[in-house]
Amino acid sequence: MSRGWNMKPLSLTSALTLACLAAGPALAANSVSFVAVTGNDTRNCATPATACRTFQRAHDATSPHGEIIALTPGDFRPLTIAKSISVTGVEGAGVFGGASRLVTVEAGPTDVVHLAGLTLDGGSLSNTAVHMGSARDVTLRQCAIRNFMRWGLSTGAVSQALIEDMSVSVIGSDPGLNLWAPTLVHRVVARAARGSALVAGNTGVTVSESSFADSANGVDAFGPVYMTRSAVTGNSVNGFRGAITSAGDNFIRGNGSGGSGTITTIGAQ
Amino acid sequence: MLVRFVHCVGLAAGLAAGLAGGETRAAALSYVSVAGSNSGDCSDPKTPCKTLAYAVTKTSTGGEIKTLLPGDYGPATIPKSLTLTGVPGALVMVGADGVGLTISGNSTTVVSITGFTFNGQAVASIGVKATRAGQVLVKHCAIKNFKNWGLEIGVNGATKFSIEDSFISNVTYGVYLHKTASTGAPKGVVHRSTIVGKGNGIGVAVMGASDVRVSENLIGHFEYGIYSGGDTGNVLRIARNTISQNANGVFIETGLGAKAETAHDNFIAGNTTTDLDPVNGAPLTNVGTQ
Repeated sequence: MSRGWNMKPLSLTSALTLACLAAGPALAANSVSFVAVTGNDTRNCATPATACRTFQRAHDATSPHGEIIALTPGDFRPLTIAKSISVTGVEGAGVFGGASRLVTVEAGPTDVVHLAGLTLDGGSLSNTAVHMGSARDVTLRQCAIRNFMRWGLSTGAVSQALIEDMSVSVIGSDPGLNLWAPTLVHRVVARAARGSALVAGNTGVTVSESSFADSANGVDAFGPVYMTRSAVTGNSVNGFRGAITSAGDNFIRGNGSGGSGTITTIGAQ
Repeated sequence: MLVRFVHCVGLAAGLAAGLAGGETRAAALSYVSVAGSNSGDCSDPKTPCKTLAYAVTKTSTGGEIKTLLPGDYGPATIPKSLTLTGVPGALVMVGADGVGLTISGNSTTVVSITGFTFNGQAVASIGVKATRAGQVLVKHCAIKNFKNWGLEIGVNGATKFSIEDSFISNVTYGVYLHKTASTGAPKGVVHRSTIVGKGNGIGVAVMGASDVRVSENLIGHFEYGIYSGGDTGNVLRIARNTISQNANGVFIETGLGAKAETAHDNFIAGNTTTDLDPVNGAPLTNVGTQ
């Protein structure tokens, strides 16, 4: 008696199942994913021992509202964010050039994105560090942004944003911070060598304990700007343009023309 | 000499009896790692445990639990005095309707939490909840993505608390202070923290005769930045805060006997409906700086 294969035609379902299995095991999404410069994108990112190599691979392997942790310093390559997620780096972890834009947020209208502890370095070649194209809420904290030809941060269709404990430096003629969403700017140092350190759009920006210095213009206000305990100094053309509502405790001095806008001082409460 | 010898023999016998019974003694210092396993007593950093919940059971009252690696250490209940210290990237990921840490001790319980990130993944209820304690300290923590409260001090009895240098985001109430018994209430400070919401809710909610000093914080993106009301006898004192981009900055319920004082060095501006509502709410009393 023959023991040869008794072949029957495969059903469509069976064929698809086999095709999926042949393509590799399906990966369950992690609530926490890890990346390291010693990692590998063929891994599942789910533990420090199986860390991946790039932010993008980790993003794709992580469930909504999950966390990506960078375990080592190093370049984890440009990232496009399409869902609620948090990305946190150790000192020296980030993205170092390699694309026109290093982080792009194109998430849904209810999505929440947190970025913390990242260094984004354009290497005097990249245009933009972070473009917040769409999301409900984007937070950047404790990040360093430097050496970009155009924008440090720019906002699009974002409902609200928080930028805190950051340094932002760009070397072109565009703004360091280009904010067209309701944004809280807290403890931020921004500089745009040939542009405006801060452009505040028509949706309202609140600035506290921040510095906008050594740029062409310190603050360009196209809408409401509320400012307290901040310094606008050493800007070669203008300290500020447009209207600022001030607590009366800011320091706006040593700029090119001393300011071509208006300050309304409402005092403290 | 004979007396000392007898004492030593007795002590040795006692120790031997205890160890022979197979008891694992609670450690004063415990270690957890995402690469660890929940066995043993967690006292050796070379053989750490895996979760906070397990390490709590192996740590003596007044002891400390340290994380060794970034990663998720899971929710826990704290029934005794403990210090929890996380390395950067130490996480407590919380599932549907859950609570990250529940502190439920007694009037002498002292709990310190430093360096953890609590993530509710938009489905969990509360980041850190204290129902009974003598003192609660939360420092250098991030609490985010909770359906209800970031941090709830809702106590049966008096509890002192301090929330410092922390970040609370994407929650309905940032810090919720209230009581669950007729006596006692939370009393403490919220200092140098950033508390941001999602358009509804309250940044710092002061209820149940709570006594809170709020200083050097950034509070934004709530329906109310600070809200004092819901019970009689609240005490609210604020200094050097920025309260902006809320619908309403600060609101004090009238007729409830609340005390609300300001050092007159806050920036309460850029809130979309009212910064302070002196018509429907009680005013802040300007006591200046001293």
